[in-house]
Amino acid sequence: MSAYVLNRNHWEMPNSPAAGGVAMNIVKLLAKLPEASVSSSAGQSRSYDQLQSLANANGMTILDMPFMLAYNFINALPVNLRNPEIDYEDDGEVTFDWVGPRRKMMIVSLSKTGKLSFACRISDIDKQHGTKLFIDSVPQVVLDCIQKVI
Amino acid sequence: MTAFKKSFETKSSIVVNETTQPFVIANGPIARFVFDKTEIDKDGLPKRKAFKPELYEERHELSICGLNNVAAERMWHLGKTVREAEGKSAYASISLTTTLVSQVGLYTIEAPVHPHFLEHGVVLGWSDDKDVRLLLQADLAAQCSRSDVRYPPAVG
Repeated sequence: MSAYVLNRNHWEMPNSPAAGGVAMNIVKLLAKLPEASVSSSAGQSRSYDQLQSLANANGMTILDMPFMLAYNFINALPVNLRNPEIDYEDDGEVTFDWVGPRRKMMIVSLSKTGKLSFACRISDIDKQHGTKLFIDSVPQVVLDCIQKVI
Repeated sequence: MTAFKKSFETKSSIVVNETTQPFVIANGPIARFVFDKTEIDKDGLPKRKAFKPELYEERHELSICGLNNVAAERMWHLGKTVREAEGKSAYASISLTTTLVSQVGLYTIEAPVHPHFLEHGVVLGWSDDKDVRLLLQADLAAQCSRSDVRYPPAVG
């Protein structure tokens, strides 16, 4: 099966029928997505490409966890949001970093189980951190932090 | 064992500090070597990932170089050689103090794991929770300015 099945606007759908549980889940997920959320900005396209490169560099594909979750995370972000810096860490998590003026920082780390760890630093006295479960929508507290940083 | 520790294969015979003074002292200078230029942003500021601790024997630690009575020449020699076995040389070093480390809730100890790198130390006190570690990394990065990032002298 082709690795390029996740976003019908960004990548090609495979010609052959999807096989395997993971593929079937993706097809079901795509079927549920409204058209508006499937469309992607140029910035998001760059993030998808970056994610795919990271997966390949670490001997995985975009269908492997946590890259598939990371893909969903990018897809769930508002289209007009500035691109984060994406990285893959030694602990097997994908991280997203936003840096704003005056050293404001927001970091999100996604594990393969969907555990989302985040840390937001606005100033010495204004900080927030925590964990959430990520499935397909970005928790509001995370969105609020990103908006405060950028 | 961390990749960093595994790679202590310096072949230098240069040992500068032969006094009994420790290299890591209270309110003393320390440096964090940067081996990947993507850990410095386009404005010359360290990113939080420059302070990413490694898991070693079930605790997280961040390697540093103690600089008490250590000449710049020696520091850059270490930066060039401590990860030589991996084909890596320090792209930059970030100047800190042990006091600054304490201010974010961490602490620094000496860890001379190799005879060729007696100045080695580690920053400890990291949480097991990733969200807390991320915030501590951000705290450390936020304390640094562009002038704290130093680059090795040009060769030749």
